Amino acid sequence: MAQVRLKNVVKAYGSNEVIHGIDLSVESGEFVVFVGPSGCGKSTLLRMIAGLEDITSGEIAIGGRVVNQLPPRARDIAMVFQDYALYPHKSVFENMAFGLRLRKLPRDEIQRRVSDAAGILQIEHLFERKPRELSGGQRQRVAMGRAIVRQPKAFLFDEPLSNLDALLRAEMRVEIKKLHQKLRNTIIYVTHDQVEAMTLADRIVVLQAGKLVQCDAPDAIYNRPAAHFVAGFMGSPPMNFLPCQVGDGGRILHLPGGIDLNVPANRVAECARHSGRSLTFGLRPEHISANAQSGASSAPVSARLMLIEPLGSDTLGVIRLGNGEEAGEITGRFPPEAGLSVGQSLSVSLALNRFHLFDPDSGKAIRGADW
Amino acid sequence: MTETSIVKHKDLSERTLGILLLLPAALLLLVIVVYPIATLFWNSLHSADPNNPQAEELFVGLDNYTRAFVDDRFWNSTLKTVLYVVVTVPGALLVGLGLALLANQPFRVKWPVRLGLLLPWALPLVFAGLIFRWFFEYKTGVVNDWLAALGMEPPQWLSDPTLAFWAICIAITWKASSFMALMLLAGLQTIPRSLYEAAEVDGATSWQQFVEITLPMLRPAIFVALIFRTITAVQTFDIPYAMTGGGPGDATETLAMYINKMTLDFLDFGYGSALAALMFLISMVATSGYLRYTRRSAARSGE
Amino acid sequence: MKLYKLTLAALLLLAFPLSASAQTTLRIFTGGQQRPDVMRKIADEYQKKNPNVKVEVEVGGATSEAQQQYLSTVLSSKDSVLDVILIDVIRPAQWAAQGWAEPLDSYLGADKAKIMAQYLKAYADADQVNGKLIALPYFADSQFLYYRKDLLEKYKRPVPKTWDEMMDTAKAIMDGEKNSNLQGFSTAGAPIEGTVCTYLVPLWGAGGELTREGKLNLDAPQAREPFQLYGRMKQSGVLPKNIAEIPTDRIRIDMQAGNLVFGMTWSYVWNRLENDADSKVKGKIGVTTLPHDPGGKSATCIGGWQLAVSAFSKNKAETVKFARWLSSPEVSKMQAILASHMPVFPSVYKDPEVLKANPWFSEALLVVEGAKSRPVTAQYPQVSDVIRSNMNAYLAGTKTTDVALGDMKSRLTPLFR
Repeated sequence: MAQVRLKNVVKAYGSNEVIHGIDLSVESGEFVVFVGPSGCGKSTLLRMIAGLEDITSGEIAIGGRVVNQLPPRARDIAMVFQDYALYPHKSVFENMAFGLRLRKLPRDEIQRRVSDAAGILQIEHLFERKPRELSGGQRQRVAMGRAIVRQPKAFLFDEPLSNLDALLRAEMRVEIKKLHQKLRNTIIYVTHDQVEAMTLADRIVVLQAGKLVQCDAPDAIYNRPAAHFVAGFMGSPPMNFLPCQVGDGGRILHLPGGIDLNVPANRVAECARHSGRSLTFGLRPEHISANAQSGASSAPVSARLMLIEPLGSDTLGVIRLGNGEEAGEITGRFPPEAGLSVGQSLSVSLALNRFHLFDPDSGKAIRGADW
Repeated sequence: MTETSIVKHKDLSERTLGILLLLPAALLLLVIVVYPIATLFWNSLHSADPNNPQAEELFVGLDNYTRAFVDDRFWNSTLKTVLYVVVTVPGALLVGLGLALLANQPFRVKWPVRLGLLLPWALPLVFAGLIFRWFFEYKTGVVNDWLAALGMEPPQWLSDPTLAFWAICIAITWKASSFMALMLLAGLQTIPRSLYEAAEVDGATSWQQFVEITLPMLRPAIFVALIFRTITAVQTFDIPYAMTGGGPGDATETLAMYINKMTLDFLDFGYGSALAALMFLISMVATSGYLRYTRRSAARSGE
Repeated sequence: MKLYKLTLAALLLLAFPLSASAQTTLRIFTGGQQRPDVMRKIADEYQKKNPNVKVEVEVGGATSEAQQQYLSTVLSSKDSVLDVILIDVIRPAQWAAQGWAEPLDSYLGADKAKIMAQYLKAYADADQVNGKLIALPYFADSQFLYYRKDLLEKYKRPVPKTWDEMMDTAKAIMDGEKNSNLQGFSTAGAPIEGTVCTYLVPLWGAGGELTREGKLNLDAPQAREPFQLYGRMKQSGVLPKNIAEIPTDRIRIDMQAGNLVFGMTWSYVWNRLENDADSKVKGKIGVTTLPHDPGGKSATCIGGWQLAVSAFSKNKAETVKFARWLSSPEVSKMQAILASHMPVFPSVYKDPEVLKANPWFSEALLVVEGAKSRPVTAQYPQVSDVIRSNMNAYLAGTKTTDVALGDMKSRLTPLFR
């Protein structure tokens, strides 16, 4: 296992720069997930680490060795591809043994390693089959097995679960997590699926348009998003955003629909610095509750229920806050037993200690001293 | 009871419809494939009196075939044909594979390479033959110019049986490898790039990637290309016809050239048909060899 | 049945919408090397005289063999698309045997003997097979010895009469000129029809014959003569090293480029040497009878083109009328002036306009009158194939005289039984 370190890594096609100087250090044994919308550069970055794309400038080191000029085969990494890239004309065993055979390992060593990996992945009974005779999940396992047997310095996963159906995806997610807990190897994993990112990662790297926006533990990414983009990308349904005006020296937030929120005492200081400014107010759906409570940390607001999406475990409700033309709509997550019906007027309470503020120009989060 | 009879009735009409729909294709096949081949065999069992060609053709049984067996020129031209096959089929495969690999490289401008591949293929065979005849011409040919520039004695390519054979092989290989390359290029383009990336990550060098990925993945395309090439090689005609006219003497004459001479020059349609039937047989033997091999290897790989 | 007849009638009406206007369309086939452009002019002339006839000229095949292959396909299927067909002088026997040509005797009637007497005898003979008139002569041709007048004068050599004189002269000029591109003598050597004459001309010149009274005559000592002659020429370097690759037109090209002292070739060459823009030998060329052995007599192969009426033509009467006009002194003269085609009537050779355009015709008449036919047989293609491929193999050096002659004998014997 080894550390993977990126120093100001840039990728450009001609004059078109697509990766704008990424700095990152993946520690030995760490599971890091690159996440972001399509086109954000996460796969390109992974392929640069693999050596399948060259590096325009900057430096990539694996296990302390700069690998910029090394071909993939010399970097001692293993990769699991989105389409698995199993060799169609080779059996499962040959697929897994291929890398070892090329490295001229003794026959019994190859046999042992392949059997071990197959044991972990429970695919020993498939050894003689050809890839086309396997189900999607089995192919996925073989692809991982092919990576495991190599015992490389780092594993690279390029959206490995995106070709599976939802159920299988959840199952394989668990498998991958177990595998990592067992083998404790360095993994860099690319996905556009925030659930995978949240469940698998030790640390999540959120990328947007070739830039690293935030790199943090899943909990921090979710609860303390560093930017409007991160807050909107992670979480389902996403965080609600409304324009707001900071008033009264930071003690009041004016929201559309004539709603004024009293800022809790512990957050007045951070708001005071932006008094009089227009900011973006953000609140996650689960921080809106249907039974109005009044207090220091929550504010009752009159609202109207516009739409209901029952999910079983929860019910999502789109509600219109306050009155008037420009009244804002937000989504709340309510318990199913709340007994909501469309068109109903209700009083909701917003968890005032959980709101986020973002600078509407830079998109950056505005944080208090304790953040 | 009624229900089953209705079902039966429906089945019948569907089958009738199916047969009706197949009929035009079957008739076409009959007219353009079965009829000529049947006529060929029928002709091969008949012979016209050379001194009275207008009279009714006589049934001669297998006489035309036994005549072939004692005809030196038939054996010589067949041997030459087999030699052309043996040399130019692997030759065109190797050159074609090389060209296909070259054309499959990520060139920024693709059309010159593609055009270069298409050109020899699009060129009529006789043109190709004439071009190479100029190349190998004794006094004005490019090949002898080069040899002279290298200080070598220029040989008479087209009037030496061995050199003429090789000159013709070179021309055929040049002409045939572009079609080979086109077929193999199509095969190459179906190989996913990610396989090479996986192999690259697995530690394979370019050569190992070629041997472990490209060749096995290309095998179906190679077999189809080989079958096509072998059948056309058995029918080799235009290039030797244009380059040497079969000379010196009959030294470079192929079976197809002999058949052409026998039928269109000598008007001996009976014997010519028998020779054509024998050529058909040779093609069948050659291709069935391939088919047997592919079937065996398919069985081995568990298909 | 009635319906069938009606349909047929309707189809015929559709196919020949102009039949009511009494316009006849005749289609004449000519090879690419027989000056189709001149044929077109001649056909236009005929259309002017016969407004009810439209003549289409179809051009195909650069060589006699290529043309015959196409014609064999058309005529074996009894296709009526062609009416008049230009055929090589070697073909009438085969055409008679195959029944492709309409015999013309009945059209000429009682005048036949008188009409045929007007032609050069060789052509009148060549076009009659077993007493039947298969074709009418169109233009004559034969092989000549072309030589460089200027070089012969420079080295004060006479025009050679025998093969050995020619070789000596050629050798002397080659040695004197010290030009590595200059070759002494060339003739057709590739496995093509012309190479048959390459064998026959020296054979005849030595007093030999391929057949005598219908039987093969290759046991005669003269049968070896052509091999030995070319063997000597090859050894002395007079003949090009790649003689076995030389097709007919290559002799003209080499001559035109000034790279040949002597060439044995056909009459069409004269016009090209004198008139082509890139000719380096304008005014430097002489034409004479071909050399012979000291004891023998000069001989040449007869060539030329004949007009056959297709047996499958739908307009035989009009076609014969057209063919007879094409085979007239009037058209012979037009051809001589427009294309330097040698006339098939002795009288036309003396026409002042013809002689003005082709001064060498005065001598040419003698040559053509002495020209000999290649063997006349329905199986001529087989005969030709045996002779040319063995001659070619000998010239290429892959067969010795004995082997080549032996193979010729064994393969020709069954064809002359």
